[in-house]
Amino acid sequence: MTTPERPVDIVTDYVLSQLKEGLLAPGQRITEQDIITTCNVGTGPTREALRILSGEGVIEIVPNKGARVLHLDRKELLDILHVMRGILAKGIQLAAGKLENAANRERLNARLHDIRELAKSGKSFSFMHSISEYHRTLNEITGNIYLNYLFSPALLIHFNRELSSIMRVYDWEKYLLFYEEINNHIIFSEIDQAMDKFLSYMNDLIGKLRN
Amino acid sequence: MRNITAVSKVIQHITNGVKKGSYVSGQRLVEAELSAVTGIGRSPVREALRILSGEGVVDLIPNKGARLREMTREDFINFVNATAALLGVGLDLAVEALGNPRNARKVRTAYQAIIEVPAEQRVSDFMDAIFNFHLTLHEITGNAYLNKFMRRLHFERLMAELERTISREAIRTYQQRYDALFAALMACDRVSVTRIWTEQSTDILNVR
Repeated sequence: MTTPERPVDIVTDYVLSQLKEGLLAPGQRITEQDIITTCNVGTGPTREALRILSGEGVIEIVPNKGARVLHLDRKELLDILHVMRGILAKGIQLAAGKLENAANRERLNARLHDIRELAKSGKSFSFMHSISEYHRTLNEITGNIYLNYLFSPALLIHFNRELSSIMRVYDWEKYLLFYEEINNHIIFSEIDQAMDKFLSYMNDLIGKLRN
Repeated sequence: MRNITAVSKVIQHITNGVKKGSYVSGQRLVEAELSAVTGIGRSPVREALRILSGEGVVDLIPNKGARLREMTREDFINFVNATAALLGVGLDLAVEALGNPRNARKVRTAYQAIIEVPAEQRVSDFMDAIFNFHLTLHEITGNAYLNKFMRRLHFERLMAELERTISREAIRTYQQRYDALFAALMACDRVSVTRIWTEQSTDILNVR
């Protein structure tokens, strides 16, 4: 039995899919009225959803005008990457021992499989996003809800969109290889080695973005 | 979006209350009472409670308002782990920013407030000094996301929790810890910063 979706979730899902498809670009206005009409929901849930998305750092509320998708410049992308490095590293650290469970291993391997598939696609956003999804699954496996709470799905989609708009991925093979190795180490609870690989990957990304 | 400020005010009222201890975990938050205390309408109050429920601060009670969520031991551990990671990023990034003498002065002032807390002082004043020290570190890194994420975690919940559980004797230990942390930061000694921070986080994990 599925519970009916709450109106506020309908709105956040709608904005999320628009961001994912690239239909909502930074700077673009979202008016309350548009959402109310498109999603067929009331003013209350619409405002609540916009307030939530603004709290997640995806949009900014414009008084009396609805909201606007935030633009993330290079400096902001770097700032987010630095915080992300620390939070995702914690996820790897807390995963120690959790991969003895076969179901957890399967879930994580499925995410790695997605990374492999998308590495062939040549689409920067989808590839970067599959790496984010890998970490979201890993964070879920640790059971620490706060890690994924900080990097919400909407923020990750927005971040990856903006990142891939100014930085093309050329080293698909190299990045994929990083994750093949990270995954191997995590599966065998070789946390120190996994951490080393993960930090090299992140530092490589940060270094590229700096230039 | 006229209601945005009203909603924010209610959220701030509740989180401040948690920090000051006038609201404690498990406590009922009645819509009508919140509305009366803050002078804000029922509808923004309801919206604020819904948002705080999404952020894990309260549990909604159908038609009755909400209840401040109790932090279970598991919750506490997860919270401390996530916060330690976030503050750890701040410490790491601060090492570079401390090369600037103005930044170093700011951090020294914040550090002195921790060290100069007299033994008979309340735990809450001590925790405020620690809180402020980390905010100052975040500020000098120029990375606005650190403090944004701190607000998102509702860091004051953890502070309120620690104020209740940390003994007066522990203050002395933590003062020495921050003493060493400050010295390592000033010496740009990343390895020691990481080691001391791991010790401190492990200590905090064990207070409950």
